[in-house]
Amino acid sequence: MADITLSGINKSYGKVEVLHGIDIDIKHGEFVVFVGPSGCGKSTLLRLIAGLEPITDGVLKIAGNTVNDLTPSQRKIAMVFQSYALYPHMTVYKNMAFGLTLGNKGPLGGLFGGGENKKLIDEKVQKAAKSLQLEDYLDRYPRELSGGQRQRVAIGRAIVRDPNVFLFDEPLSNLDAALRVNTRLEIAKLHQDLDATIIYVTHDQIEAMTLADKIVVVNDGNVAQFGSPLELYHHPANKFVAGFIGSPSMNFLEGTVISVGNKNIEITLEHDGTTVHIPAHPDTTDIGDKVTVGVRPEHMQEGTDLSFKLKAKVNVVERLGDASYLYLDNGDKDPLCIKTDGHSITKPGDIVEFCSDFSAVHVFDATGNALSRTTTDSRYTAPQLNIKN
Amino acid sequence: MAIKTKPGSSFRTHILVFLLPAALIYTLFMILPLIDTVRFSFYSEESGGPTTFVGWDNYILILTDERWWTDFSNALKNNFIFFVVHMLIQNPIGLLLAALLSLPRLRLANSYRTLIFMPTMLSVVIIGFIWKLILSPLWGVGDTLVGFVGFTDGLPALLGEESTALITLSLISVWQFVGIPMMLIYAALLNVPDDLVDAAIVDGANQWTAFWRIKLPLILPTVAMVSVLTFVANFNAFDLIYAVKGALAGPDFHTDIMGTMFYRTFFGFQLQPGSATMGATVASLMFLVILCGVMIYLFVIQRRLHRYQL
Amino acid sequence: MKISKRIGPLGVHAILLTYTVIALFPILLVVMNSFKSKKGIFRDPLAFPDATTFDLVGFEKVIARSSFDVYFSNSISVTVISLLLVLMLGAMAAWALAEYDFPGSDLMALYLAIGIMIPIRLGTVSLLKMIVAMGLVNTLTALVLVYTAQGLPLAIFILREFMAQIPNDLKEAARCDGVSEYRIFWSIILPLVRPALATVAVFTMIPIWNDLWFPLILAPGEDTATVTLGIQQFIGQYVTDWNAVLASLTLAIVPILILYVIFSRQLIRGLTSGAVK
Repeated sequence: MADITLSGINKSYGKVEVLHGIDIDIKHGEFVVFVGPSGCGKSTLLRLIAGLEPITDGVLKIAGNTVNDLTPSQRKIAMVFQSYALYPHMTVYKNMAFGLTLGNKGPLGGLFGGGENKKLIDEKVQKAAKSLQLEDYLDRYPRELSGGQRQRVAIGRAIVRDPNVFLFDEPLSNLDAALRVNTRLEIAKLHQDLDATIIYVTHDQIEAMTLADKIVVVNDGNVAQFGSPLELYHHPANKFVAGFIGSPSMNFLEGTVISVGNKNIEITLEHDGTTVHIPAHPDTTDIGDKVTVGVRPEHMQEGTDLSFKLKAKVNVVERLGDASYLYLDNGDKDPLCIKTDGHSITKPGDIVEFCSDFSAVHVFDATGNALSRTTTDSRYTAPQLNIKN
Repeated sequence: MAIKTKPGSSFRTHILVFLLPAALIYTLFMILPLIDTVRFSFYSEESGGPTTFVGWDNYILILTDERWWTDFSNALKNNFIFFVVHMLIQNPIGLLLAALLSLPRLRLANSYRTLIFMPTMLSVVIIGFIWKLILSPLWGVGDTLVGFVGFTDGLPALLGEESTALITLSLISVWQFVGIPMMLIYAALLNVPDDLVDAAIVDGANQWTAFWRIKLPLILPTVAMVSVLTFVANFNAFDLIYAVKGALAGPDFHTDIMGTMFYRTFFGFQLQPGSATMGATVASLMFLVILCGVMIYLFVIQRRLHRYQL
Repeated sequence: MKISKRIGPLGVHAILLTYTVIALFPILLVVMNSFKSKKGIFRDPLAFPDATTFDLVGFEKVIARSSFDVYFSNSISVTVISLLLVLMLGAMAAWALAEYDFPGSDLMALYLAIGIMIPIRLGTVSLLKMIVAMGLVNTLTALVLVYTAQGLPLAIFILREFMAQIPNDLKEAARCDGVSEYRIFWSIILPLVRPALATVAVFTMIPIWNDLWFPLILAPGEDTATVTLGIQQFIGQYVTDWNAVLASLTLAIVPILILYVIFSRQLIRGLTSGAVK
């Protein structure tokens, strides 16, 4: 079991810097998900931690030791690849045993033996196979297995090595939808059974929200935010995280500041020219600055009961049964979305008035950073979960 | 892939149009001459006289007549030596170079590849002459070179000595053609997904181990194909020996291989007139040897090797 | 990933560099010395030509005593025409085999593939008789026909594999539009298999240009000789004239090397794009 610390990690390919000053602190036993859009650098970061790419700058520590110059197996990590990367010419048994058969003696690197003795290897492989229900498949070749089975072999290969850290690189993206949900549950259970530190990379924010103890949102080589799923949901630190987490994504309304007070800001919305008074710390925002107001679809409702009121025309209604989603006209910007009751009879073409509590409204300054809110409501605050730390 | 015929059209003429020209030229200028040569080997030709059917007589002559058999078995034996040298030296070196060139993030890989492949582009004739000059005692370049590494006595006339001529020619051929196994194996190595090597490294292997236990088993079909191509090419060889040593493949037939023997038999040389029928017989025997090698490859080796889906 | 500490990147480069030198040294030696005077060649073969040793006498002799220009144009004609025939006819046949399911198509494919393994030279006895009977001895036409037949099997094999991978949608869409099969082949398929065509071109061109056997046997006349045959005879004749010999070798080498350097990128791309599996 190991803590993992990244301090000031930079990664460059030649002149191009792809990771900038990454600082992350992972406690042992945590399930941490790196999430972000394609090309943001999350897979690169994973490979850096694994030892498959050299670190350009910064310090990586595992279990208190600086591991920058160690090989992956010396770092005691194991990795499950997106494509599973099972050796096609070896049986399931041999695939899982491969790492254990490598010796560090002899010029041919274990070609003729070395490594741990046969009995020990057999015990370990059988144990891992049992825990993944693979005992019947030990003599099969990867090409004879289904996608789900192959994935279990890939996980088995990792378990057998008894590593400090498990790294998963988008393991669910090659599975079909139904299998994906099942496997997600299996991975969550695996985490509990193994009590292991897991770093998991995905582009799917639902996987991130459901599996993680902590999430690292990566954007363009930077850590946009690091926190628990619900923290990120209720208290996004910037516009990027706010728009990335949550589905359907947060509504954004552009506006200009027309006056600042001690604990509130007055903003004119581009949407319809109305002015709103939002209770938020202005920080460094000044009159004339552009800001973005954000509210989640599920925090809005039809009607005018709540403090933050808006009006717009309905373009499309999606009725899902237990809820309906209204998509509202927002000029040439992305349509606004409200989640409303399944029984709502609002139809396309209607003009609706909708509202939200100010405690659920976020304001982001021109650089995208969130301004701190001055009102709180327990409905819109991350609860304190008793997660082992 | 199957095409449904358009309703009403009776025959898909376009298939014929596409297929026929190639099939025609191929059959006329490759298959038929081959079959005809084998047929011709069953005949005997008097100079200027009629051709008579003689059944297996020509073959029996080559295989039992002392003079013929000495020549033929000598050429066959030399050809095998030629082949073995290629298998033992050319293909391992090609494999090594391909393995090195396919290492990830190797700088200048492209340049190395282009330059090492260069000799393969040139005509065997030219290569033969170049090496003849270099090894020639008259010029002395060979002596100077080995002088660099400490052999002050200089180089013996490698191409002229009976004991070394064949091996030297084989090595020259190896020198020239290393590029081909190198390229083919290199292309195969590129097809091995990086993921597999990464997984092996995470499992604790270094590049060396990853090559032997992961990459190499996966490219065995290509290695086997390279071997059989080497076999066919070696038993078909002629140009190099002819260019360097002439049709007589001296010294004293020590560099004679099947191809040169075929040429001599067909066109004649100082000691005997040319004979088309005997030439055809030699060619048929060559065909048989090559066919055996190919059959072994197709039915024994290729069956055992599994081509993995990568 | 760091290259194994055992060999180390330095070792890898050392091995590759050593072999590169081994590969290039003989060629450089010949080209260098062809520009020297006879004294320079013998006095210090490993030195570059300098002011005292630089001499083009070798080249002058070659140009004066042989018809290198004729040899070149012969080689070019034969190679280019054969290449075009192989590519065109080969692509057509490969397309027929890859796309259309007709009875016997597998057998035909096998039949055409046999030629890859069996050397065409073995049929020379009959080939010569046939060429003589057709009155084509000592013509470039004979060479073109033979080389085309020689190059077709491999071309068809490689192109067929490539064409089989073209997605069906493209062809179906064109057929829905009523495009004729010939048009589909010419305008859609051919451009898509360009990398494979490049690979086939290289694999076909080199053996044709460098071949000694067929020019020697089918077209040995002075006006139909190719570069390879021409060189072989020239050197045989002037074997003691080192300047001429070296110059003739250089003249034969340099055009190919230049072409190769220009096209090496295409060649590699063709080889590694999976055209050869």
